[in-house]
Amino acid sequence: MSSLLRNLFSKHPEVVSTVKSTARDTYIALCLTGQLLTLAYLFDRYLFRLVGVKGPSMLPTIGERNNLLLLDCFTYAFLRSPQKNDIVVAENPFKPGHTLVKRVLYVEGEMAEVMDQRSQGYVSVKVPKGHVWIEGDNKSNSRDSRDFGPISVNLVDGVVRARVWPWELRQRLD
Amino acid sequence: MGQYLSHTFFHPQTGHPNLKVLTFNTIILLGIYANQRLFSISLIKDDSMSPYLLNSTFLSDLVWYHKYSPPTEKLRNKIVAVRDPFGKGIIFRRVIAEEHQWVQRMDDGGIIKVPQGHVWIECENPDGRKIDSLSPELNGPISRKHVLGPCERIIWPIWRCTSFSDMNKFSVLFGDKKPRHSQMYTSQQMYDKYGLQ
Repeated sequence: MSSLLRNLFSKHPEVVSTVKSTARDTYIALCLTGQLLTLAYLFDRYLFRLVGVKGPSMLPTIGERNNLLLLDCFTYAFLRSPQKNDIVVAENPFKPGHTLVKRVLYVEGEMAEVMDQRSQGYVSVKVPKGHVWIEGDNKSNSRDSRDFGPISVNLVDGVVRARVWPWELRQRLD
Repeated sequence: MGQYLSHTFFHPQTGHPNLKVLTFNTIILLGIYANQRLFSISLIKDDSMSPYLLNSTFLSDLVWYHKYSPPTEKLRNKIVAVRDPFGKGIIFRRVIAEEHQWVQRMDDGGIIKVPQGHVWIECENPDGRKIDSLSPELNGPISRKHVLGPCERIIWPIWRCTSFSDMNKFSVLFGDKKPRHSQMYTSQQMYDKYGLQ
């Protein structure tokens, strides 16, 4: 096998240059692909991305299906923590891999008013440091902080800036 | 400036890309990606994991931990890196129970079922207890979303360089046999013992 290859390379030197240039081109393509994928990941993680959401919990503001939202991850990563009336996308603490779209009602240090099912009355819950209280706009059909309590800011992905689909209902949401 | 940049990335005569610069940039970017998604290092800042992970003024332990763990990975009895739920930072805790398992608390003996998608984490050092499932701030299981991944090994100082699996296997630290953690029961054990389901 090696003698065959040596004969081939000595008789046809252009094969060597072809193999070399092909290997070089492949290496360049692989490097550029890696750079592109990494930059795309960083862009999604730290600048902004489009998220498709479904579910009835934000109903007057965001429809039940066929939504595409512009999610701004830059603000919470570098500028400020969540504030009142921000619509945020957060990770569901009970279901790994699922996300929530809710509105921030109370931030850290405030007292949240919540209906207690056992005593049938309103009780006050203090939102601890580094946490936010999120609730859906559709109060009757939403699983949110009234079920699982305040969630940590670490679980909040970003703030929703606009709805870009359906195109007829495009609108800024902040 | 533009000419300098173009001569850095491309050969001035032939116009081919400069492979050394290309390789360097790719390695830097892939390193950033690995630090974001795969593994990272962190210094120990308090005494909460004291016999295992030591804190001191100049030579605190430097821990190499994974930043990704598949949701089905068994983390019980492993030391994991956890995102601090009350601020920005990494804390190291031992996982005592995973989802759908039962825990009998060490302090008051209460029995709790860890809900779906949660884990029960505890410090190693009962005297220097910081944020964990027994502390008054958290006082319960924590979401699995906060858990980054298991710790791999201590990489600095050089004389404390140990793998965490070796630390668990060959640990002779606790000769007194006193319980230092809450007791975990699987659902089958709980059913056999108390009839709870």
